[in-house]
Amino acid sequence: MLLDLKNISASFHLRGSVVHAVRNVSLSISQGETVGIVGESGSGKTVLSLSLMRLLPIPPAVIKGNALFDSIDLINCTDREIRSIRGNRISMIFQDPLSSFNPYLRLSDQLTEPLLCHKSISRKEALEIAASMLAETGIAQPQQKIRCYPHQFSGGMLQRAMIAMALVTRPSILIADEPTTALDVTTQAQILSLMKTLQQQYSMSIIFITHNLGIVAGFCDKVHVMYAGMILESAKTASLFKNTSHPYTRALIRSVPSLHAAVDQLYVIGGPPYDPTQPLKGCPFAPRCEFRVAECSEEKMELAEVAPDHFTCCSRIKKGEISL
Amino acid sequence: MNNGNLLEVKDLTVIFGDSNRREKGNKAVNNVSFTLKKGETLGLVGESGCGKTTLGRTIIRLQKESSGSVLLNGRDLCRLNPFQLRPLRRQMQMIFQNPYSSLNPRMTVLEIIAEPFTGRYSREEKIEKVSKLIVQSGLDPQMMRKFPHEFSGGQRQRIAIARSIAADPMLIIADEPVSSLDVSVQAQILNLLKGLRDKLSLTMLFISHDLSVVRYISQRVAVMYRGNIVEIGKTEDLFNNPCHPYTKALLDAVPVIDPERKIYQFKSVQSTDSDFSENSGCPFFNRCSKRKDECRLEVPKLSPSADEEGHCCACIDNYEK
Repeated sequence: MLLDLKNISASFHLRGSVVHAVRNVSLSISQGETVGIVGESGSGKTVLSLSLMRLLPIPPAVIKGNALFDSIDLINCTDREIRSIRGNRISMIFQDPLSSFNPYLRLSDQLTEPLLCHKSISRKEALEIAASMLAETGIAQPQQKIRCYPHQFSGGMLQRAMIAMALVTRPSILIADEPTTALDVTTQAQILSLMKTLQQQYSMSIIFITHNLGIVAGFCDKVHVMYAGMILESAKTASLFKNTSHPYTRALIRSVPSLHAAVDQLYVIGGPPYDPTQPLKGCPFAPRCEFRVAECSEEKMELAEVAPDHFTCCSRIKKGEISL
Repeated sequence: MNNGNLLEVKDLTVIFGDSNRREKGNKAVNNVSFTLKKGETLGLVGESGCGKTTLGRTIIRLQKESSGSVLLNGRDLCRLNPFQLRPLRRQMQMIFQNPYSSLNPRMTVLEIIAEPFTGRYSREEKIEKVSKLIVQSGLDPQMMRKFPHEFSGGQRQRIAIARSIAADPMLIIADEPVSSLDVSVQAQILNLLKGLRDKLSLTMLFISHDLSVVRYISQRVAVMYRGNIVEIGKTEDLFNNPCHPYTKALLDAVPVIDPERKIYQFKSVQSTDSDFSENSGCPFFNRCSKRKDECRLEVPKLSPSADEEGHCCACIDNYEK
């Protein structure tokens, strides 16, 4: 296992209330694998990735658990250790390329920064590596383009530059937090194909955070579905869509309008959205679930294997009382 | 006179910047014509920067046209002075993309939805009408004394929808009304819009970049590329039998829930970063996978496609068939 997360919890202690953003998440990633984390806004998927990179302010955030990466615990190691990993062996790309770059600095300064921080090489060598990385992401004339400022690039080009910046140090894990949400569909397809090529070239693992089930289906090997800070279902991609084993996953899939068939009425998830400040008892999705029974708000939530490599939290599915 | 068309857009062009100066102005909308029947929903799709929002804003007179005309019920909105336009403004309403910035944070929900009623009804009548609208939009009338910040994104979009139908408009322009919402909330809002449209027989121009959303809500669809409508037709025809290479590429690039179909193997559109210089021919030339030398010569016109009625496409290949 390249990265092994055990019982990660993240909460925010605010005036008088505690917000539980991530609850007891365990998952593992092996080399070269693409792992998708899907969920709606507020499901804790971004907080999970930020706590791995130790990018959350502590306090108000409180992070518990272990994340073992190459025998270093990312959550509990010293600041010095995490600094030597972050942006070097684990890199991250963000949703909005326009606001992720510093508008005052040329791309050359921003793309060479990870190299100058982590590797002992000269500025000139760093610039060469950065320019060749930019070329690999499909930007023509990298020697000239690297001298541009971020505003001179289009959204798709900037996202390419951000990928180049994340990959100059040849990380073993890339965390991509909604990297294509701000882009057009055609650009999105180009960026995804670029990510796949580079992944195969460097045998890198990708943690892909998204709310788009379509991307997950076509891009990831494994998927974890998050709701209320918990993983409700995790499985290999094909298995997740074929043998969906949690009512929430099924509801999510059904509420996406179809491109290939005319639909009369979209499926709607009823009930109030989850409130993270409330204490949790039983299944967090129970109040909105059409299969709920009284026991659902009592049972302890634990992932159990229902098919090979296919885990679900739903107690009724585990017992075989319902099938979807 | 208007043969059932509520809205008729003829050769509409919008140019930003001064076209007389040495630097040529930027054509955001280029010679666009289409019609919209009463009770019909037309979906307008395209990438960012293709001019779909500008087109919507020009129809509703938030943006001045450079040439062409917009006919609402046979009256040319482009030739009316502000005083004549005023009563017609009530007939056209807009729903915006971001419900966080389109509702005034200092007004209560009651004030927001009742604003189109100003000077027409007494206070009691207003409250009664507003609570009816709130119920129609799937909210609780108890909420009408609250302020927008007390609501979630989906609820705010419901308030925006209630406001847009308050004045019984003839035409609603919905500019990306669901793109800032989560999938589950998006489904609720789409169902609400579809339900209201059928119940109140609303005429709607639905602008979106999401093809599956457009497919769900519209009866007809127009695809825009760099200011031009490149294909227009009935939803089923356009999705099942796309003619224009750009429409095909767009449809190809949408990630669908199918683990067998690998999104990253998609190859049909060439890079956007290639030469964007003006050419006198087809606007899609630089990115087209089926370009030929003839494509450079002139801008292809929208022409009827062979098989289906009302299905038009602006591609040189379409002429030859």
